[in-house]
Amino acid sequence: MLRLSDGHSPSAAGPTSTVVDEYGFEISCTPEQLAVRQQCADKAHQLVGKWGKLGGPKELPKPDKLKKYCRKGVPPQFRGWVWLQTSGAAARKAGQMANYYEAMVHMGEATSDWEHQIELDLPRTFPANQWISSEEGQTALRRVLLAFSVHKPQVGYCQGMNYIGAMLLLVMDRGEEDAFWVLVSLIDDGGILYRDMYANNLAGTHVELRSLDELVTSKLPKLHAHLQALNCDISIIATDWFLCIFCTTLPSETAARVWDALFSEGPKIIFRVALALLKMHEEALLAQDNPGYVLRELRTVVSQMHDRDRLMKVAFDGIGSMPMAKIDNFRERKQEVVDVEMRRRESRQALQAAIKESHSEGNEFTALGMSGFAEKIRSSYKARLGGSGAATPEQNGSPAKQRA
Amino acid sequence: MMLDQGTLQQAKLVLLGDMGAGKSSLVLRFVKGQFFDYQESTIGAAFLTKTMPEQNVKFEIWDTAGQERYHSLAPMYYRGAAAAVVVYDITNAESFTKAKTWAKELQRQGNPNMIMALAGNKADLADTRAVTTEEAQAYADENGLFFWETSAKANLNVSEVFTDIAKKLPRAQAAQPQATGGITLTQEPPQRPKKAGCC
Repeated sequence: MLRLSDGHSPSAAGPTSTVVDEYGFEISCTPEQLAVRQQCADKAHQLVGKWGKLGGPKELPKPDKLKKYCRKGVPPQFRGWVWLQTSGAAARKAGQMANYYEAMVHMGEATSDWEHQIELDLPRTFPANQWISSEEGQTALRRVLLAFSVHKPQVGYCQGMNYIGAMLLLVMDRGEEDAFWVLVSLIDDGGILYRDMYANNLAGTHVELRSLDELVTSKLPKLHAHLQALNCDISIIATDWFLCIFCTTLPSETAARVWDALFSEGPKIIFRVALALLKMHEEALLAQDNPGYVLRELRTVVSQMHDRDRLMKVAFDGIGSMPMAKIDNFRERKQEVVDVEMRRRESRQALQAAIKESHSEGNEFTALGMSGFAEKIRSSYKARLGGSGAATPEQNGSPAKQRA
Repeated sequence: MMLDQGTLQQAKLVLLGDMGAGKSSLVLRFVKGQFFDYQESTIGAAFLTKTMPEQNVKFEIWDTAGQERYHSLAPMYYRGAAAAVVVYDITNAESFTKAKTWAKELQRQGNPNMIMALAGNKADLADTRAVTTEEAQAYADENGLFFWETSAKANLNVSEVFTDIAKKLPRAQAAQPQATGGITLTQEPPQRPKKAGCC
């Protein structure tokens, strides 16, 4: 027999059984993983009483207790309501007119430039999840994404938001309007996530990735040196961690647990969880001799991270101090670098477009002479760099509605 | 018979192209012989390997995200690649324009010896074709790209794309397995600067 794979096998061994998790995802678990899931579920169940005392809950724990409660995990039956409060979505919703969401849906359906791209991704969003792939789920996700694309035209639609929107719908009892407002709370101005994570050529994501790289250098120096020797940029392993906030990589129950803490404490949770995942699997990653194998190993072990209690324990107690001021400091420095690179990239693109345009105008070069021709390119280039506030599919993807 | 990995030629290959053109589906068909009507949209990138024993080549395949704003992440994947497959959707003219942009960028900024193929995917949807075979073939010929119209769904010409590339890989280095299990077959030094730019 010829060996067609390289013999890599997932780290979990033994017979596996397939179960459907809290949010409708089929997962394949070893007996040990099933036991660990049960343990975590039992612990969550013990917390129901605490949250239940708050009236179902109708109110959040006192501010001094909230962080602790959320770190331990919000029981699934209270999650939707709690996320709405802790993410700031409830406050944003209250600050708008009553039918704002419906208005955005109508506007999105009528005018969104992003309809084509959203349609393309809808059936490709968790296709194995029964509800999301149902007509009802597809309709709900379409409306949430279309509404967001007109609510925040500077972002429009960015791949990754489809998964976040779907995850929110699944956790928040399929409530579109609630899911919309939490999505807004994550991405809008002054939202939870760093600015421009999804806009402006993902500039914010580049900043976050580089800040994470700095943290890996200081917290996991051995791993950092290894990745550097392999030429394995942090973006190779962590891009989807930031853009999907772990919901495409961790099991959904574990991802929801991360989001419990994210909404209550903010984006430093993403860094803590990223560092925890790297730390917990450092040895396995050090054994890989190629960026591809690093990514594959990491994706495998992360997808099997069913012990959400252990992950969060490492994230909170195993990483050491990580003040937000330090992250902000990294962000500030990295933002400057990324801004320069983005500007360079834009100028290059604008220049190429200007030259292309001039070429297509035939023999103008002969007519204008060298300096006239150069001036024409310059002015076209300047006009292109001017830009406008809203992202457009032409800048950010294939044109809208070309199959309409 | 087990193939000795040490004698296998390892080649880094990257897939680029517009969103929804079928990059992930082509790779999945080639590597695992599978096809799903709805393939999850790729965020960041995916990594797969496939050995072609007849060609003595092991492809290390990077499948990338297609949305335009993800473009700024792409150089990380095509730098040092020995080969690239640029994918478009034959029913979508814009995706062909985008494919030409990718080919240009690779010619300018990729490894100078990079072997490139152009794949016009979704050939099973020829009824709604928006890009003619002749136009794409002419472009590929002018620019030195292999060209196939493929269908990941109907399993049409998928392995042909990779076979063409495998046959053209430089043979001279096949007998020199890289000590590090290296990622490329290019002339680039193994150590590049720590931080590669995002554009």
